[in-house]
Order: sequence, then structure tokens, then C-alpha cells
Amino acid sequence: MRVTLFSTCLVDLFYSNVGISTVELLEKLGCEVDYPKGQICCGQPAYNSGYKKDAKTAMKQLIKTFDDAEYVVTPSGSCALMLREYGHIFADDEKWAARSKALSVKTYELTDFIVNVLGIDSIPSTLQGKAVFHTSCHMTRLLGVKEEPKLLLSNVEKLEMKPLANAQNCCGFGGTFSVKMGDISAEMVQEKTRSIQEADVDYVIGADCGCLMNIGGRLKREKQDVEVLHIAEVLNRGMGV
Amino acid sequence: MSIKIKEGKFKDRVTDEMKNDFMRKAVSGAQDSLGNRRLTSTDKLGDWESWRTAGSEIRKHTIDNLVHYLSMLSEQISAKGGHVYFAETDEDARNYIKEVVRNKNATKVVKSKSMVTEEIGLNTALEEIGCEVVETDLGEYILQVDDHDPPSHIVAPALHKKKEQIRDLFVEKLGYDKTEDPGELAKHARKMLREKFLGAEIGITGCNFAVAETGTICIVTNEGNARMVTTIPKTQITVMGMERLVPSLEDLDIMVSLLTRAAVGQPISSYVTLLNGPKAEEEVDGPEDLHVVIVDNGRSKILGTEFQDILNCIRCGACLNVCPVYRHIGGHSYGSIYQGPVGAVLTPLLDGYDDHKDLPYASTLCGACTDVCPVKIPLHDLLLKHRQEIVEQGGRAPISEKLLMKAFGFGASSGGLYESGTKIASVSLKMLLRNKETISNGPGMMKEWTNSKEFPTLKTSRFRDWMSKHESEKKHEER
Amino acid sequence: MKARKNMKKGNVQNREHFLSRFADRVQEGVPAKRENKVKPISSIYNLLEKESIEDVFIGNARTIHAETIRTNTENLTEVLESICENVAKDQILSSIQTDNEKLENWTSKRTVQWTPQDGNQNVITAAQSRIGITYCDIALAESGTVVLMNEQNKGRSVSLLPEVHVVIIPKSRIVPRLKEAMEIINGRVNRADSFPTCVNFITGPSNSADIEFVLVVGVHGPLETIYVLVEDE
Repeated sequence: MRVTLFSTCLVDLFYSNVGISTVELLEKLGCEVDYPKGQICCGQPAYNSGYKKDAKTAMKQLIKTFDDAEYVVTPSGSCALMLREYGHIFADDEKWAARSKALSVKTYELTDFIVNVLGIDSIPSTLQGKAVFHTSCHMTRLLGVKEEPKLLLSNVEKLEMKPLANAQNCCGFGGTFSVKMGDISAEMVQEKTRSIQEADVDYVIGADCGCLMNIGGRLKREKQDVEVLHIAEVLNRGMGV
Repeated sequence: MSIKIKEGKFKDRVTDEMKNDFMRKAVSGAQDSLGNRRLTSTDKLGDWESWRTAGSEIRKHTIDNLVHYLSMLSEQISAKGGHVYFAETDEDARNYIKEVVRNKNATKVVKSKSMVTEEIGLNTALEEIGCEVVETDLGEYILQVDDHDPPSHIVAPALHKKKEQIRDLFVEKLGYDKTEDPGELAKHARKMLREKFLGAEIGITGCNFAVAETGTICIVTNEGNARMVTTIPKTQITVMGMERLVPSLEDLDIMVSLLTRAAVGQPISSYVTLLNGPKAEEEVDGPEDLHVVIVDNGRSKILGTEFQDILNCIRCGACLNVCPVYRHIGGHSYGSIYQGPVGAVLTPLLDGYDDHKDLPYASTLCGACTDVCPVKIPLHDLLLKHRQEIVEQGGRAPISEKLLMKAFGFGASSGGLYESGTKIASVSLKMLLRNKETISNGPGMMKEWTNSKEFPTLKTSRFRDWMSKHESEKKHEER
Repeated sequence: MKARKNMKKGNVQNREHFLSRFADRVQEGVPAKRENKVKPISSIYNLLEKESIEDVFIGNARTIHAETIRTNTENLTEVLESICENVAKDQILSSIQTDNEKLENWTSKRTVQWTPQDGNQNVITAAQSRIGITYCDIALAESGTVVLMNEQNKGRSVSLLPEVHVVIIPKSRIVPRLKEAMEIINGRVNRADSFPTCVNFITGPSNSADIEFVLVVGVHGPLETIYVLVEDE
């Protein structure tokens, strides 16, 4: 199966290892991964700040880039959600309505794609230790991908998943919120890292680099000995070809 | 009081409020316990989603046909002997109510909880004409005794107050001499307020729902104060926002079932009172005279706009109880009598952006509010629409941010620009790093981040560089 | 709907101008009869297939701090007597319409009866009474609620001002939930002058959680509620 990867700007610039794991994982699962270079950003930072016009400029670039894709897969629930919204955003735009809708329909968050398109719910991988899963808000509530990552993680060998107190609460990232409302964001992430500390785990696993950058940044400031991992990295670990 | 309750900047209020450890503990504790209660009660009802869907359909239908249902409601109330006044502005509402009170030569007024009377500044207006106005909801009473401290939660207005503070307040102002036990405090308030109820000439209530087909006013409480207010005084004035109605009693079943569960996790509250006009001639208690004041005060401006869904709100407060931002900043930070996500949507609509333009940004757009709303108002979407409005209206968004976003749109639409831009950024970020793995003390806007968190560094090679290599290796292998 | 006897219509002021300001932004005319696309159904009906309606009622009443005493028509007055033990007649107010002669005799002997001809004196009595006794019109199993239609000689104050509220609940009047109660009330809309001026859904004693979210039972209304459930078949 041919899969077109949307790496997201955070992965491209800061978390190349997440991108690499995603590619390796998809290849091991039998996909052929395609990566059009025209891709940049889904437009969410501008869109969620109210700059619809500027965001649309970025969105059009992405629509063009992914015109030929069969499936667009991305290791981010939040960016997948943004792409799924394109259809609504361009609904009244004669020139872009059909193309944007087509992109919305063929876009999948990584774990959603693995479980619901590839039909795989168990991937032979190993990670020794205890972990909590951070449920990202956009992915869980708005994209509706809730059980897929948990299902995949439950089948990772030697990994013990533990509950996280107030797991449903946002970590305080919120894109530009984290710099526009830095003080509030700080309090929110501190409550999250306290819950993580209380859970007494080796890893925090998530499926969105924005949240992980936020939580990881705070854990590092607190010098907490907890490793932050993207689910693609976990599923790609110890997985034989 | 009016909609706006605090002067100053949003960020300054937040800084102050976040220092209030008690308030924050009270809010998070309330969120946690109410969250559990709500879930238990909704689970017990069955398929909660189908109830929400029905609720949102009823509300949407009502608002879409508001002229019809408001006409019907006023006819029905009038047919039962009640008077109806349609108030276009807060001032119209105050003047009408003052006139009713003057005509009765009354000075003793008791009130049950009503947000819209706060909104129109009714208490002050009545005090100016010599009335004693007593709030009788326990939380509202505490705030009133404390020199009109503003409410911090739609449903639990005194949530930010410690019981010790309340004890001291009661000692100072109400001759109280017992402990900070909430039961003892409530008993004292009961005693003080019982006298007020028995002597009151005018009772003023809010309205949870008015039923158009039957002219029924429905009031939902736990304390029983609204029953007192509608049982003893000879004149009752009910003030309602023009959107607070449902077509039929059948619809009322669904709305009440949603309201009490979403608000406090109860299948029904202690008292749900349906009032159909003034008392009949042969009856003893209940009002001889009933006035229903239907208030616009900015609501009709929302009709037909992309914000119309906010008029579906039933003021349950569930969105406050799940909001991770409200959790940390509390109610007073919003500077409005309407707090939390609903407040952040509604306040700028009713009172303009000038004093409230920060509110739509007080959200991570996490969607918890939208998810919990019993009538499916897309609250986080409406916050986003506010942001778009603020940007598009121009002049309200910071210029630096506008330039940044322009550059973003430009950069994110041009492969070449992105290519060179990210390479330059990579170099300049590396200079900030001075051989460290992360940035601890960033410049400009990044400081907002690095005040509390490390910022990751740009990698020497971007993912796309690895991918190019990977792709050519693959091709090589294939050959 | 016909107006009540001797009823004067109330005034409606400023309606036309008020509505004209936004009439063009909402739908015109009379909406078609609306049917909810989704008809929500409470799980209470599943529960009632397994448990009796009175057991469900009593269970739910317990969770809202209302004690239920079960009895039959024969023993009702004895139960009431035991509740009112050591409380003087002038401390007990009742507002009951019944054709049960024994109950009528008991209330006239042991309680002050709500008497419309005495006007406001009734309210003063209620405020000074320790116990108020009412007879419910409907009860809801789902929430342990009693419904009182306050009209004619059934005073609103009886269930509100005394410290203890005693409610007599004939078993036959328990319905599953709010829905059925609304249907019964709605049925009376069409019976012209008999639409009750005030309907109270009462679920246990009054309470508040306004101070530190600690539940306090008994605020403005009764401090205690006792349900007397009567097997009336």
C-alpha cells in the first residue's frame, strides 16, 4: 500500500526521530512511504490564533502537495484534525472545495491508520518498564481517536501501562496558547507533571509532538527522570523486520 | 453589578488569582468531585448522547422560532393573569421593575438566584429607590454580605470563599458566634433569611425555563429559596433572558433532565417549581400579582450570526467544571459575571470586545467544554470564531503578531522560503544553545515558554534531510 | 385554553416593537409540529422490568436523604401518629384532600388543617409548625421525587415552612419518571380552569453545597423529609 507521510513541522524541525520511526514502522507493516517535499505546515498555528486568511495560504500549499496521495498519514492527532477540517474551511470556495474535501477524507492519524485501515492491532515490539499514556485533546475529543493507541500499547511486550490522574485534562500546550498565555500554560503543565510523578513511571508516551514538547520541556526543567516517547518510537522499538 | 465585574487587564487578574491557593484547591476539588457525580448520573440515565442531541434540537428549534414562541409565551402568561414586559435594554428592565415596586409602595425585596438580574444591575437600581434587596441563595447571600464580592462560578457563586472567611464575615456582619462548620453557618443564614422571607413584599426570581405553550415559569433550586420567594411575597417579578424558553412541557422534561445532571450530577434537584400565573383567587399563598420581564440586553444582536448557538445555553456551568484553564485561574480572572468557556464566548458578545478581548484566548481549544455541553454548543469553535473576528476587525490584534502570521502564511506556502528559513533558524537557535541540549532562557516570545519549560533545539539535520537520504538508499537497494 | 374563573387578563407591554427588531433574523410564522429526531429513553424502564416501582422509588429516595416508611391504608394513621408522637396539635399543619374517612378524622383531631377561609393565618401557622403533612399527586421512581399540585386548598407553605415535611404517597401514584408527570400535568392544560397555579417537584429535604462544596442538608426549606408509602390496592 502506498502511504503519503505528512511529517508535520514539529517533527521536521525538532523530532526527526519520530519521523524516522514512523517511516520505519510503516515500511515494516508493508507500506511504501512517499514524502512530497512541498509539504510544510498544516496552518494550525495561524488558524487557531484567528488568522484564517494567512492560514489558508499555508493550507492551499498542503492541498496542492497532497493532491495525488492515496492516504495521507501523520504522526499527530492535532495536525490530522486540522487537515480533516479543510473540507469545512474551504466549503464555500469553488476553486478549492473539492480538493480540500478530498484531502480531509484521506487523512489519518498514524494509530488510527494502523488499526482501522491496515487492520493491525498488535505490533511485535518491546519496551521494558512502566508508562503512562497522555491522551491529547484534539486527537481524543475532536478527532475521536481514543482506543487505538491504547490498544496498540497494550500489546507491547514488557510494557506496563499505568493510569494517569486527571488524564483528560489538557497539558496546557494549545499551540500559540503556550506563549500567549505562558503563565497559565505553566500551571497546567505543572499539574500534568505532578500527576506523572505520582504515577511513578519510566515513560510518558503520547501521539502528538506538541503535547510531548510541552510535557517533556517541563519534566526536563524539573529534572524528572522520565523519558518522553512518541508512540511511533515505542511501536518501532525492538520490532523485527 | 453589570456584566463586567473587574477593572484592569486580564493578565494582571490572572496573576493575582493564581496566587490564591485556596481558590485553586477549591476549584480543582469541585471539578473533580462534580465530574464524577456528573458521569454517574448521566450513565444512569442511559444513552446520554441521545439526550444531548434531543436537547440541542429543542434549543435550536426554539431560538430559530423565537418570535413565535415569545408571542405564544406572553399570550399564555397574560391569559393566566400575569403581566409581561418586553425589555429591550437593561435600563428598560430596571425602569419597569422600579415602577412595579414603587406602585406597590414596597421596600422589602427578596431575590432568588438570577444571573440576568446581575447582568442588568437590578440590585443597585432598587437600592437607589430605597429598597432593601436580599439575595437568598446561600452563596449569593454570602457574597452580598461581603460587600458585593463578585460571583466566581455560575452555579456555585461563592466557590472561592473559605469557610473560615465566611465565619469571620458572619461574626462581623451578622452577629454570628459559632464555628466554621458549613452546617452551622447555613443554619444561621437560614434563621436570618427566614425573617426576611416572612416580611418580604416583593419576590424577584430568575427563570430556568419558560414553557411557551402553557405560560409556565420553571425554577430549579436545591435550597428552596426560590419557593420561598414565590410563596410568601404578594408580588412576584420574574426576570428572564429572552432566550430562556422551551416550546412544551414535553420538552421541559428533557431540558430539566439535562440541566440538573450536567450542573450537579443529580437526576433532579431538590425543588423544581412550575408556576402558572399568579395564585388563584381561592388560594392563600403565592403571589397575587405576577410580572414577567423578558430581557434582550444585547441577545438579539447574536441572532442570525455565527455565534447564535450560544443562545442555546442553559447555564448549567458544566463547561466551567471541566475547563482546564478555569481550573487554574478561577472565576474572577474572567472579569465577568459569566465565567469559564461560556463566559469567554458570551461576555464579548453582550459587552463588546473592548474590555474583554483577551477572553477568547483563555483556552487551549482542548474541546472539553464542547464535549460536556448538554445542548452541544460548539464552545471551542465559538472561541475560535471570536479570535477570527478580533483579527478581521483589525486594530485589536497586536501588530507584531499580525506580521508574524503574515510571515507564517508566506513561509508555509513557499517551499523555497521554508527551506532557507528553517536553515537560518537552525543556525540562530544553535547560537542560543551554546552547546546545550535545550534552551532554558529564550528571547522575546520564547521567554513565555522558557519561564517554565525547556525548549527543544533544532536538529542539525531536519527530518526531510534524513528522508531524502532514506529515499535514495531505497532506490539504490531496489536497483 | 379557557381562563380561570373571574380571571383578568394580564397586560403585555412592548411586545410588537421588541419582536420586530429581530423578526427578519429568525423564522417567520408558525413552525411545523416538531418531532425530535432522536427520542431519548431513560434506562429506568429497563430497571423497572427487574425491580418493582416502589422499590426503585424507595432506593432513590434514600440517596437524597428521605426516609421512607411503608404501610397500608389500614395502618396509615398509626404510622402518622408514631411520626407525630410528642408533637402537639398546634405544631402540626396538614393540607390533605382525601376520602379516606379514618385519615380525615385523624388529621382533624391531631393537626391544624389548612383552611383557605382563614387567609394569611395559614402561612403564619406554617412558619410556626414543626411538621407539615401533604398528600402527593404523583411520585417519580427515577429520582425519589414527590409532586404536589398546589391549588385550591392545598397550600404551598405546608411543604416548605415547617422543619419536617411528611408526605403521604399512595403506591398507585408512582410513575417511572419526569416524562409521565409532565404528561399528567399537560393533560390538565386542556381541562380549562383546572390547570394548577403551582406544581412542585420535591426531592428530599432542602440542601446546599455553596460553602466549600460540602453538602448541608436543610437550608431554607425543611430540614427533614419523611415519605409514607401506602399500599393502596
